[in-house]
Amino acid sequence: MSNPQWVPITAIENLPLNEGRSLHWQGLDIALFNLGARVVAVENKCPHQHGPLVDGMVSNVEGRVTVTCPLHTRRICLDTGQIIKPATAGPCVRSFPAKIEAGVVLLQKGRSEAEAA
Amino acid sequence: MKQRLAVIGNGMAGVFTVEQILKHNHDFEITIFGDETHVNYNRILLSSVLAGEKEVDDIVLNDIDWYRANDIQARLGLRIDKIDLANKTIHSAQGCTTTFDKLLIATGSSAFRPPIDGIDKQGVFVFRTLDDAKHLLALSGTGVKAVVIGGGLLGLEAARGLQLQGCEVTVLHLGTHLMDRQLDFTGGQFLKRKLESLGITVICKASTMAFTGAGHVEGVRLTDGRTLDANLVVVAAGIKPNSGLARSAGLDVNKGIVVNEYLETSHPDVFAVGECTEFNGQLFGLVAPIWEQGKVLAATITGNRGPVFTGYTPATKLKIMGADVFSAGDFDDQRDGVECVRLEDPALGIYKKLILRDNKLEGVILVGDASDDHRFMDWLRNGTDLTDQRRHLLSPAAAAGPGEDTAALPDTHTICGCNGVSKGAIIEAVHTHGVCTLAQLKDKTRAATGCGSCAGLCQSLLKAVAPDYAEEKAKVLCECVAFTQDQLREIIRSQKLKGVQEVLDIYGNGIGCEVCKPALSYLVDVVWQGDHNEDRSARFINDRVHANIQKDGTFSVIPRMRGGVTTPAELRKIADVAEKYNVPLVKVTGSQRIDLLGVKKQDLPHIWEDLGMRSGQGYTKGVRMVKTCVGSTFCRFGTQDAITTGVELERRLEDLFTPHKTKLAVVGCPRNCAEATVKDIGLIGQEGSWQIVVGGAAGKGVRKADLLITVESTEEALEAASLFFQYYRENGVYLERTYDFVERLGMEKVRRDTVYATDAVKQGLLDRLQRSKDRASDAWLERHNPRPFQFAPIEVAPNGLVQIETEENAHV
Repeated sequence: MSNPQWVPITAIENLPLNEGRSLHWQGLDIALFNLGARVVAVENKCPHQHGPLVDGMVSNVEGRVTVTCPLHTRRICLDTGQIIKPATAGPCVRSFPAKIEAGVVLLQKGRSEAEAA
Repeated sequence: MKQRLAVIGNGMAGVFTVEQILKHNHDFEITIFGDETHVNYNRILLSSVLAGEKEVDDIVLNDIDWYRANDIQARLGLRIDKIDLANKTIHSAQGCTTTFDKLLIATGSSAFRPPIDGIDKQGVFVFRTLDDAKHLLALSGTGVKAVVIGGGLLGLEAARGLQLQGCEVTVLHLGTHLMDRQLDFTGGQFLKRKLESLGITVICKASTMAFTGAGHVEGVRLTDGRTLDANLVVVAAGIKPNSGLARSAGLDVNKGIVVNEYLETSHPDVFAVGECTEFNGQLFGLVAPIWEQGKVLAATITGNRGPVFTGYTPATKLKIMGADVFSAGDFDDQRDGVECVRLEDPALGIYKKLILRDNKLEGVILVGDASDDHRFMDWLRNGTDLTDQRRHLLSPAAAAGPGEDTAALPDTHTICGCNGVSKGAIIEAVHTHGVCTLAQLKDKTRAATGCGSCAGLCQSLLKAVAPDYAEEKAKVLCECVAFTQDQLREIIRSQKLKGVQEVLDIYGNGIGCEVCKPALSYLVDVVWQGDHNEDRSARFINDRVHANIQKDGTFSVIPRMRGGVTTPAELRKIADVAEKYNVPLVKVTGSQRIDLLGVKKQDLPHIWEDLGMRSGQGYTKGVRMVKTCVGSTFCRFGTQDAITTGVELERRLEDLFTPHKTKLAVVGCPRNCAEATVKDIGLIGQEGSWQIVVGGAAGKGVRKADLLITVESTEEALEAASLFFQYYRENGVYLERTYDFVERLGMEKVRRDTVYATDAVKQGLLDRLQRSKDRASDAWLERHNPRPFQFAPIEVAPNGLVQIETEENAHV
């Protein structure tokens, strides 16, 4: 496997804490969240009825950091992409490798995390 | 034949002891005499009754069925005035005689009435019994000037209760600082500042000379010459044991009835328990040692003499939200060989002081934050060696999750200090009785039925160990921050918390969710009248982009159109905007406005700019619209100018937030063409007057609004509507519509607290409304100063060059 290529996206200052910001990335709509210590990137589409996750509120379910879809309050774990409330076995939200380096948010070119795994 | 046990005193000590006796094998025929006519109630919670937090029924400990079920004769309203030890009889003031084999004296204590000139005037009370509380409640209210003599535990709780009833309260305290038997000078000063920030006036070193007034009290004169106005006085100058009865019977009495370690008096068949007793020179005023006495006495009297009472470590807790005080042990730091560890944070009003000797805790004072008092009490009781904990004495590591804090406690740890319920006993109740709610736990173990301050700890323990744990959810806002909204308002106010995150960090789980964050956002806004720290991450998307999200992720745009009145020019602009941005649907709404539906998020600021109109708040829990009929402007039936009045009402209230959406209407005659009778607030014009109605609904349910008041002038009508509006803002539960709000409070109370309140109270409501209004603005003006990528997606820099979005390079 070739070295992953990290692409600078935006300054961390442009992502207010615990609020989503959207981005077109490799033909997909992505929701970026600044969770303070880290950033996460998921596809901006709730598996339930395609609500824009970027507009959801960051919250928690039993200690797991989630985003609540603004349309029908599905709670999605930002680490696994799973809908954890109400608990369903449905499809996950795709997530993408993201990190902060020197105050800049970086996304990894090429694969989604699910495919990389 | 059964032995006859007579109990003099139907209070907490006597009845608790009887409960303990019932647990043993016994052969008693029990009769309890009480001079109050009530069944046994929780005297510690009288201040909660006064504060309006609890009803009389809520504090009953043993209802009449309990007496019947246990074959106990209850003789209530009988005052025993003589004990004849030679004949083993007791005699009541009403003339009846009862013979006993064993006698238990639990006469408690009474309030000390200092010999102050005029203390017998009407309106001067002590605060000791349920009847005292009822008298105080009847006389207290908005505008009443109340003076409390005595800045001890009981005086301060009474002061807070009276203040919550609307009284203007001044506390006069003889000593140099408040609660001087429980606090050092600094602690007293911190407490004084806390109480003053809650609106209670405190005067120390105040010696009362006389109560003035003809018949009813009108003032309090101090020895330094000052006189304070007072319609109501509460004397809380301490308590003294009711030991006179025992003294005249010939029993050994000093200040209290002398008892030994088995709770025996100087007569072999007579026992005593509670505040009337004296043991090793100690008197008792707190519940924990008394219940310890009750257990020992129950063993002694049932022939199981063995357990002994050893005295106690004094510990006190003041139960005033935001002004918590905990004090235990000996806090004197001038003694030889003791070390003092202190924390003072004047901004937060927190003061903590620990007294240690040889790495063991001897005394503790907490003011402003007594949340971890159980930890200190445990160290104190067990004489824990604190060598390893010196770095964390005052700041324990924060618990990571519910139950983790309690998980670390040993099973022997006392959770409920009042009732001596250990962690192990609670776990046992869960396993053997299937306890899974706090109510069941109270029932089985009596934990949290004393002062109630351990309820939170019991909850978290239940949560951790009970498999079927069920929270009494109706009350608390959310699992993330388990307080009621009333408590949260008080916390936000008294702890000066201006941001949602602060509340979550200190009183919640630090993260929050979509349920509690918008509610907290509302509460900090309304408590600080707009002078709060706005946190958009705690707002629903509608309040981040000031538009209503639709099923496809687009938004709807409703410009304000006050009173449903528009102009050709405005309509032209709306038409132009709809075409320019390809708005898929233009619709006239039920609120006499125009809705542009299907707008993309990134177009929002541009549409607002092109429209040049104000936000209609059609997306938020706030002021929606004021619907109007044509009124006297054109209508031949119109009696009042509904349009001008409606437009003015909307102008005064727009841009403000409310617990839930608020819809208003003004109609010019009782034909009610703009449906004012089914709006949250409606003004109904009639010949020469306006009716103001509130709490109407025409949604899932239909409810006709209730009449608030009828007034003559338009200005009075606008003021009445404003009073109700602000009252709802300050007292409504988040997501509670006015129709639930008025039903919950009752229209009588709503009227009394708004249009029929004193001028000072009304002015207060109007002033706070005005301050909020002064700080509010049209949300759509945010287009001139957007936050980074608030509306448009992030654009990836083509050459990897990353720029920070600022005001200058943000564009509209």
